[in-house]
Amino acid sequence: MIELKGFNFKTSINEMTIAEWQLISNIVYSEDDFVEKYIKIFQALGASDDIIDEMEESDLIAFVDEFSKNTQLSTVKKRGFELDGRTYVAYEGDEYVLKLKDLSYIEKSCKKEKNFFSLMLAIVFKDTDVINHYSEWEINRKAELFQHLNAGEYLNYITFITEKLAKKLENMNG
Amino acid sequence: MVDIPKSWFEITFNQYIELFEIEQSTDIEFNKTFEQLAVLLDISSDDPYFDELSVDEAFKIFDKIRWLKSPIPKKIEKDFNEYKLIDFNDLTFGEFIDIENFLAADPIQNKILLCSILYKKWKFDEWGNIIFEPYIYDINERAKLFQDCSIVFVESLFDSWLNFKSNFMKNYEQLFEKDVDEKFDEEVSGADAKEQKKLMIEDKKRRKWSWENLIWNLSSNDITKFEQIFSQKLILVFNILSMRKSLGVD
Repeated sequence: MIELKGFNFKTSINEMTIAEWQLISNIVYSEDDFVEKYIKIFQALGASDDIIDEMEESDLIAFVDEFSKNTQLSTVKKRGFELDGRTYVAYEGDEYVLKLKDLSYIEKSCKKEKNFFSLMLAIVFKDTDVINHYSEWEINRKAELFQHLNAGEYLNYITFITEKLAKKLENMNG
Repeated sequence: MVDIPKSWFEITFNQYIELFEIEQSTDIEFNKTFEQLAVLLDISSDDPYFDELSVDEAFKIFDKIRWLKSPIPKKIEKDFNEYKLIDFNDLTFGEFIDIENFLAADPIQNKILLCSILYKKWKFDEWGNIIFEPYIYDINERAKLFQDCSIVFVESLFDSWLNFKSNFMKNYEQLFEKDVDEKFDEEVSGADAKEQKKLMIEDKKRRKWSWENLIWNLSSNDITKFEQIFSQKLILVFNILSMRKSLGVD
C-alpha cells in the first residue's frame, strides 16, 4: 500500500482481489500508452479524478516502484478452501496436477471472457458437493464467487496454468 | 492403458468425419485436440478417463498421434468383402450422374455413397467372365457398410475417382461449356450491367439443370426413355454426344 495525495493505493497482490488483479492485468496488457495505463490503474484502484488530476510525475514513479516490487506470489498451491459453507478442492494427491479436461475448458474461457482469472479458478477448484463440474452454470457460479478471493493466494495457479498452456501450445504448433 | 491408433489405417470413415467436424468447428487448440483425442480413443469426452488424464500424460499421447497431421496415405482395394470395385470405364451414365450429384451436395459425407456405387456384388457367368449386379440396390443401405471402413480405403477410392473424372472431363472437354465468369465486373454500368447480371443468372440456372437438360435432349424430349439412357455406358453416351456435337446435330 502506498499513500499518494491522501489516498491509499493498493500496490501488492496480497491486498487485491482476483477481480481487481484481473482488471489491472487487462489494463497492463492493453495497447494504451504507459501513462494512460497508469491513470486507468489508479481509477481501477478507486482513486477519484480529483486525486488523479493532482498527481505529479514523482507520484507516478513512486507508485510504479512500489507496484513492481510487490508481485511476489505464494509458492504453495492451496489444496482447497471453504467458502459460504461449501468446500472447493483443486487436488487430492501430493501436488497439483493440471488435467487435460481442465485445460481444455480453461483455454475456451480465456479466449472469450475478460474475467478469465476467476473462470480459471472456477475450473480448477471443484465443489465437493457437485457432480457436473463443467456445466456452464456451475463454472459461472464459481467464477462470480471467486472474484472476491485474495489474488496473492491464488494467482500462482493462474501463472502456472498460463505458462503450461503457452509451452504446450508452442509444442503443438512446433 | 488406452489403445492409441498408430496410423490413418486404423481410423474409420465415421471417426474421420467426427475429426473433420471438430477441426472445422473450433480454433481453440486444446479443446479441439481434447475432443479429437476422445474420438481417436473411441470414448466420450465425458468419460471419467479424461477427469484423471494429466496434461503431461496427454502430451505423451499427442506425440504418438502426430501422424494425424500427415496426409492420408492411398491404397486402393479392389475387393471389399463380397464386393468388387468396378472398372470406372464400365460406369453407366446414371451412375455417373448420381456420383456427380452426391459429391456436389456433400463431398465429405457422401464419399461412402461413392463407395456404394463403385463397389458391387459380382459373379462369374457361364463363360467365366465377371458380371456385376445391376444398379438397382439401395445405395444408402450399402453405404452403411463403409462407415466403419478405414478412411484410407475411402479416401483412396475418392482420390482415384477424382483422377478418373479429371481425365474424363479432359477427354470430353469440348462438350462442357465454359462457365460464365462468376465475378461481376464493377466497371460495367447501366444497360450493360443489367445484361451481365441476366447472363450470370441464366448461366447459374443452366448449370443447375445441366444434366437434366442433357438427358432431355438425348431422349428427344421423351421422359419414358430416361431409364434407357441412364443404363447406357457412360463412355458410349459421351461418344454419341461428341459425335452429335462434331456433326452439328442438336
